[in-house]
Amino acid sequence: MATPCAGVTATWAASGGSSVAFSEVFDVKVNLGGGLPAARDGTWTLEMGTVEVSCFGTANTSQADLFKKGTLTFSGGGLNVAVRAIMVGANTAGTVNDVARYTVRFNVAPD
Amino acid sequence: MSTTPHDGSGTVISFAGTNFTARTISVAFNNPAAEDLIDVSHLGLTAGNSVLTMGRPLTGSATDTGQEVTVEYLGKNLIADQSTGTLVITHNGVQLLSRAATCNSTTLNFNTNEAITGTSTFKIARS
Repeated sequence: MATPCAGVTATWAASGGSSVAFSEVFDVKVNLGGGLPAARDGTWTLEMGTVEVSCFGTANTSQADLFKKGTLTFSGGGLNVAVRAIMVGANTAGTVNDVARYTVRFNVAPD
Repeated sequence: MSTTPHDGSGTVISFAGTNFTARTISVAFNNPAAEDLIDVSHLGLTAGNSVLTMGRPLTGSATDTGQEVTVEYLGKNLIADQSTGTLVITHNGVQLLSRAATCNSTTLNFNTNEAITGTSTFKIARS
């Protein structure tokens, strides 16, 4: 049976840093996989997947977090996912007569 | 002869003292202050919560009264855009509207073997 996408929490814990929660998240896209294995044992590839988190609240990330590796955790609302990821970018968009919107982008990384 | 309340016949419309042979009259009153809301619902809301909204940061145009009348009429009466006058609508002798108005647009149609028709749109000033 379909699961209503509600009551979702999204957190990002960069290695060596404390866990921060994304606030007012309105869109999550988790894409695992995408490239053929490049290691002999089939466990590693350059394209392991991507994650995008879009929110109205401040993304709680900064330029200092760029290219840091950590753990992304989503829970609730049918989105029970925890992946190791590297933060690769963040977008901020402002439109006249609208609210500011933030998007943070990650590449899935091996453990 | 009795008239039915939903019958548009017997309606007279005039602008700046000139009567129109109207075929169709459309009167629209909209509240310009009605909030155009932004949906700021997020995934953190739980099932059963209400949709979260907030008003737009900017208000509507100061010159928008939200009241408009469109008239489709017979004849080659060319009403200039931006012309002003009093728009009066009377139905079976009962005045429904008498308000200062500005013509926003006029379109005249000249078709072979057909009557000349025109359509004008008026912005009505708030009383």
